[in-house]
Amino acid sequence: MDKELLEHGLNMNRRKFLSRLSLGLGSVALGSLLIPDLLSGSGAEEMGFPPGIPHFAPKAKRVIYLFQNGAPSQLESFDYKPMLRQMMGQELPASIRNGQRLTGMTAGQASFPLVGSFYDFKQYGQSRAWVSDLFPYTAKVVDDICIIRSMHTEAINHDPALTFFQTGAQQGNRPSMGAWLSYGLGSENKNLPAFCVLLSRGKGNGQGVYSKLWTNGFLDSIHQGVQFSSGESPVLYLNDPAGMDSTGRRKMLDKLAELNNLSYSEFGDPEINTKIQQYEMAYRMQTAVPEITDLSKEPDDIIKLYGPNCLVPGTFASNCLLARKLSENGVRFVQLYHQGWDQHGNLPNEMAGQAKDVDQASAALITDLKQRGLLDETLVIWGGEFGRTNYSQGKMTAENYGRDHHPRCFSVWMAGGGVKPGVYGETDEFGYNIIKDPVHVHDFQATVMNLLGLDHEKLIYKHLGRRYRLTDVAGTVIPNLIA
Amino acid sequence: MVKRLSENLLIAANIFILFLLVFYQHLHVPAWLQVIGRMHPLLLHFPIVLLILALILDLLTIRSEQLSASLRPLISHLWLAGALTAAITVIMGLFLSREEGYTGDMLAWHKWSGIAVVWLSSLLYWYRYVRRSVMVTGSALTLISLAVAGHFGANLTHGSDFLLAPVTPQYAKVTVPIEQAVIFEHLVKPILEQKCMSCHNSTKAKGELLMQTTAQIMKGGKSGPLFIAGNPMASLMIERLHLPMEDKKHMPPTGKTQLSLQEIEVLQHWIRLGGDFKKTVASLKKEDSLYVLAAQLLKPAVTEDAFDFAAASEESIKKLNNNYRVVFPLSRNSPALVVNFYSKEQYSPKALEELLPLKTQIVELHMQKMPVKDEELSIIKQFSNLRKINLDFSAITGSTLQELTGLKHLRSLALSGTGISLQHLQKLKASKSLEEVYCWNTPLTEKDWQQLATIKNIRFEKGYDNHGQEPLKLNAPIVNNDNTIFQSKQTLAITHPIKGVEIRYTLDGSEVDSLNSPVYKDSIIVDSSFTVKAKAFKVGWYGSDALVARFLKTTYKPDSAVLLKPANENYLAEGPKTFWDLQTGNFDIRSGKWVGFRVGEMELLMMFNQPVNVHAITLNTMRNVGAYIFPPTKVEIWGGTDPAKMQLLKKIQPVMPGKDDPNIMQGITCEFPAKDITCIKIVAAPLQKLPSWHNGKGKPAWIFIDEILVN
Repeated sequence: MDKELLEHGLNMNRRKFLSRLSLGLGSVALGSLLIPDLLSGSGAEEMGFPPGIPHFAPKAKRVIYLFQNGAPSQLESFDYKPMLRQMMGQELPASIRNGQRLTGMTAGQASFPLVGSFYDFKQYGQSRAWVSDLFPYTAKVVDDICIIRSMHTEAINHDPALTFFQTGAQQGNRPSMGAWLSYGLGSENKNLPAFCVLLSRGKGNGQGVYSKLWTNGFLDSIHQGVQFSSGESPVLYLNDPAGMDSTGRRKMLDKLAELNNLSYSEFGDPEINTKIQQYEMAYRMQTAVPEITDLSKEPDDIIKLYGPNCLVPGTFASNCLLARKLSENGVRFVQLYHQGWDQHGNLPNEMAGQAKDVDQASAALITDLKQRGLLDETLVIWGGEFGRTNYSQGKMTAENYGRDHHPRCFSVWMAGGGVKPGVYGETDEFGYNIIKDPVHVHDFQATVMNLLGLDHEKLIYKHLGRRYRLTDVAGTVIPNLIA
Repeated sequence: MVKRLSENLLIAANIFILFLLVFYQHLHVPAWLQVIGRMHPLLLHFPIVLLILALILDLLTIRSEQLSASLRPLISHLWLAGALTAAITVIMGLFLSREEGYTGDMLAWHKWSGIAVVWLSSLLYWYRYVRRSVMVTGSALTLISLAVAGHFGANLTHGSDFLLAPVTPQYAKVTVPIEQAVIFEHLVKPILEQKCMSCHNSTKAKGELLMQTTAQIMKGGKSGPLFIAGNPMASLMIERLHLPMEDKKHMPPTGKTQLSLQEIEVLQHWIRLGGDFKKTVASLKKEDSLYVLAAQLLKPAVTEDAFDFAAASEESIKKLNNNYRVVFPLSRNSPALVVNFYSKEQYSPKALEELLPLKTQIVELHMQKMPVKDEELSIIKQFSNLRKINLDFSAITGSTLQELTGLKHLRSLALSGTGISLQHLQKLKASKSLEEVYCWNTPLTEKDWQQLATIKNIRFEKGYDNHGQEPLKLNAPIVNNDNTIFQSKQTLAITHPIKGVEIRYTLDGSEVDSLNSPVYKDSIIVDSSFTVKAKAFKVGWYGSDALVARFLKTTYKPDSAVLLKPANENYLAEGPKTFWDLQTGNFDIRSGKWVGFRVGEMELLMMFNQPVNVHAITLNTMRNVGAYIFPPTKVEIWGGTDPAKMQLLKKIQPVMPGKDDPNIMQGITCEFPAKDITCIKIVAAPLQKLPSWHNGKGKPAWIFIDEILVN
């Protein structure tokens, strides 16, 4: 009886409840028309857009990132500051330094004598961009590149700065840029990994690179960067062991897939399917990789274009050539690191060597992509993790000086892939602070993603209860960098 | 009581409205009343709701006497409240309309329809039950008046195209190419439209300024002309834009969207150039600031193609996808598809034909390095929406290129590395859409290129060729031997990465001569320590720098050896046998080829079963000043036939490095008169205190040894 009273009081019984509920459902359905992704199943609301397809029409399809590890000096490369020569040896005004923190290496230094570039600058191309004499080949392609002179970062030491550039955070637990793009865009060529890494080393003072820089972080391991080594087998463990031919390998894989399928039907774990696919990809890589890494069939003109070192495995030039071949074959992200740019001392000497290592091949890469009709869909990026100070570290002479780390401004360049060529941003006449159009590392990442057809705010991965992005919680696309 | 009061108030309000209307032109609204007037947009919602509610209830009860009787008092209250709030709203509206800038047809419509609502609702309050027809027509009229008043009121605040804008076709922003753009029409006017005209139009005309026609703009407003041609800084419009936000005269007023700096610049430059209405952007110099601005503004933000074809089914895309033919959408929600082919072994014309079901959707075809033949272009031409085709290094000769001229959207065609000829390329002239053709690494001659340059609408990319360029210098040859220390004979292997080079060498330390030095063939076998110098030569290149490499011979290997004092626990390598494993280390001290000592001396005892004739002992050491790795300060060689009675054969003190000395591998040799011995003891002492110029001054240095040569 009580129940009936209660029902009466609520004016509700099961039949009424259900019929009302159907009305309610109707209104939910109506409402859902206004939120297209609400009921589409994949939790798109939660995860941003589903990965694997660009969010909007991309300008660039692939990236080749020529990372200059150790931080090349902007003042001897692309940021021309004649006043520093005039003020040679004079003290950096406190009003310019403005409380900027220093590294442990110069914090104890009693004075900060300004030092101008040992190398002369000239203007080139239609953009009349200033380029130092250390980069004669880059100067020739200056109209194809966009020099950003107003990059700035948050970190002041190599490892955090490098990690910041690659993963968007200074602590190394997040996916690298290449892994994010592999996740966001998927792989073009299913016979090769979507993210490849190539290392080289110059004679200058170097800083290490570690595999955490090309990690997949919390993303699926298929997005991890695959490091190519410079020896006889560029991808380790890819060759069949002695005594095993490809038919045997095929049979083994078929049998293995059968077993895996069996356990998939039993447990239904999607990771098992991923595993099968990875075995299959490795099998196809066995034919695809040797074809790409064989540089001996390149025409003579190409060798002259990249310089004779391009046939010496492990050099920057050879990595550039390899990068072109990988990219041409649909590898989304080819990451190069060239070590040896940390010129705390002996800068004029060491930097000349470093520039000689990379200048011709970097410019060659642009020319080569262009003549194949690939430059408009391949984004090439060149630059380090931060800049160098306008004052000398240690003892300064006319021919010899050093520069410490400087996060407040530095130069990088980008080419192809929908980038607007020219010169962007400006620093003050001391080359110490940015006075126009600053580009933060997160802005840079957001812009790169935009060129690739990705909205950096929507490429999200939920991990440990938090939604992660490459650009963390910041970053703005810079439209004036985009053609 | 309340009802009576309200009824009276309604009558009073009606009369007041009549009064205001009669003296409308003379109305002067004091500031405090202006505040009340401005509450018009707030209050107006009440009469709308109340009256509509009353109308609905009337309509529902019209057929039922019983219901009507029970609800009548409530409905009556609603009518009264509705009419009264309508009247108050109208009074406020009349106050507001006396403020600056409200004129025009739209206001008139709004005003009179609003007043109609008051009068109709007041009459209906008292007389609606007289006759059913009165109620029905009265209610209908009230409803219409409400709708009209509401609509025009909204237009006044939001602008007349507010309601239908999202479905009006011209809402989509038109983008004009910079060559055709008119400064006023395409740069200035859009700013005025977006940021100024919501107040300065024929319905509002704030400050008596209208901006809809060029004549109105020339005329200016209450405070004078808008601008002085050629002098932006003295122009009223620019002044108002630059006034501080707090200033009452700042434009646009607080709360409205402000102009961006870029937009202000556009207006300034337009005035600077004379405020002309016809001038085109193309007539400006390319360096002109306005031209630069225009280039940024006029370039469409998104250059995405608008694809007007339907998407293919997901299933058909999936079906055509395999490991060597990848079909994927250009982007999310785009019907356009991109196709990439990989691995030439897997390619056949059939793979291309199979794509025909998607011929409408495919916009890019990437077939570089595929053995595509001329015949296959007749398949490709059926893909009617292609924008981009890449046939680099394919097998085409170009004889069927004219097939592609029918593709109406084709913009980019890559033919690098193919056998195309000028004659075939010229057929591409017929294409109206083609912009770029890539022809690097083709048989085209210099003359052909001049011919191609005459085709103006297509850019032919020539790419890099080395003709007429300064020759490059070859890189030095490379020694292929892993080790530079050998025991009896050394087979020297030299290579060069570039095919067809000639390598010449010397073994006696003399310079390499491009004519006289011997040419390296297969290998060289040497049986004593030597220094090889080698250079590479090739036609079309400058000769390389010399490769210089030292090879050292060691004659005797001890039969047993023991370190009398332990090495550093982190750098033990393989123990003493590391010293004669013939493996030199590189600069990586952790490679397992280096034995390291710090603080304590190295004392190595080597024993030979048979007496050996020894005259020199060399320690191969590393020097890396920055890493605290120095040569030993002293080296002593003891020898004899009885370990207990050894003589000091030699003692040397190697030179210590300076601050900037480079990192090297260094052999430290002790030579002494030849002697037959069976045991040798080597003592090497690391530097105890680093010099004062060193970062680690006062701390002990390291020594690292990878090989010991006994000759």
